[in-house]
Amino acid sequence: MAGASVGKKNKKSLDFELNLIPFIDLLSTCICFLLLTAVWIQIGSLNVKQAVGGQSAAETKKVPALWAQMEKNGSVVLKLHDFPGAISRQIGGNQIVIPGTTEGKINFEELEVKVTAIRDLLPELSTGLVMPKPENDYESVILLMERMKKAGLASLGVSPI
Amino acid sequence: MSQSILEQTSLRSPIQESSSIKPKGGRKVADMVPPLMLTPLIDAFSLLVIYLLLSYTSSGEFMMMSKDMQLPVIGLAEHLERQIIIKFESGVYYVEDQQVTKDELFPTLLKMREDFREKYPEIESYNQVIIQADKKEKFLDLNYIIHATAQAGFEEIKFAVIRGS
Repeated sequence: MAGASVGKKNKKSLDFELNLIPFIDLLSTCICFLLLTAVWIQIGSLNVKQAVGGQSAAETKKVPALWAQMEKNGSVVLKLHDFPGAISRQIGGNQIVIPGTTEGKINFEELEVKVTAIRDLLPELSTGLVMPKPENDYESVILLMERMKKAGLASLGVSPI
Repeated sequence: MSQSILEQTSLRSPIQESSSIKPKGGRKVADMVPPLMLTPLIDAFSLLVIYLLLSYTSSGEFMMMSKDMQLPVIGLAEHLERQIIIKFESGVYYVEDQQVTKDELFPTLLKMREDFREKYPEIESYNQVIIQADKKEKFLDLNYIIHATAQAGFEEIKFAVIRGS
């Protein structure tokens, strides 16, 4: 009996209370720091090669290339350079005109379809050159290059005026 | 039996009764203040920290953009790394925040490339430039930059864009 009573008196609670206040402080500081240093606008880049190179014409290996000449009215002329004759005939000539929209903008959907169709005929085609006009805005040049890249032209260049 | 008569018959003290540290005597009053639940708060904080850490990125920090400038939005954007930045804003050209005229672009780019080699030795290629301009700018104005970069021997141009869906 005496032993039991002594045991009851020494009984301590086994629940350990974790002090959460420093943990909350740490988390709050982390959140403040991350919110202040967070970059909300994700900036990326569209990489293109210089169309004007240092190599001479003799040194340059002739590979099929697709030139996209932008016009003021939103139309785009696709010119086939160094394409095999059979494929040019299949396409129906060395150039394809893609008319612009009624608002004078580029018809990007049709352009992508045409470039994809050309690339299906010539899968090794990977070079594209964009030739803008001085009046074309920067956004349309970028969007045109994006569509060409999307259609499978990995090596893109922009030609200065 | 251990309590004395004095203690049992002593006057009640309202201050001691209402003490939250060691209340003495009187009726037990129910605590009207609900206990603060810290566990959901810590859960929410932890989730927020994890989300912010995952979305934390160091790219684009070097590029300052004014609130009036709107970059083109494309889906096929690539990761942007530190290179010489040429900015065209409100009819003015800047090479690394240094205002230049269009005739000064070429010599400034040549000098800037040498400075870049010393300042950022960890960069792999010094033949790239970043062009930053508003999406409504005419290509004619950017044409001077492209000419100058070609003359200065930069092989690749990175057009700064915003990553879209």
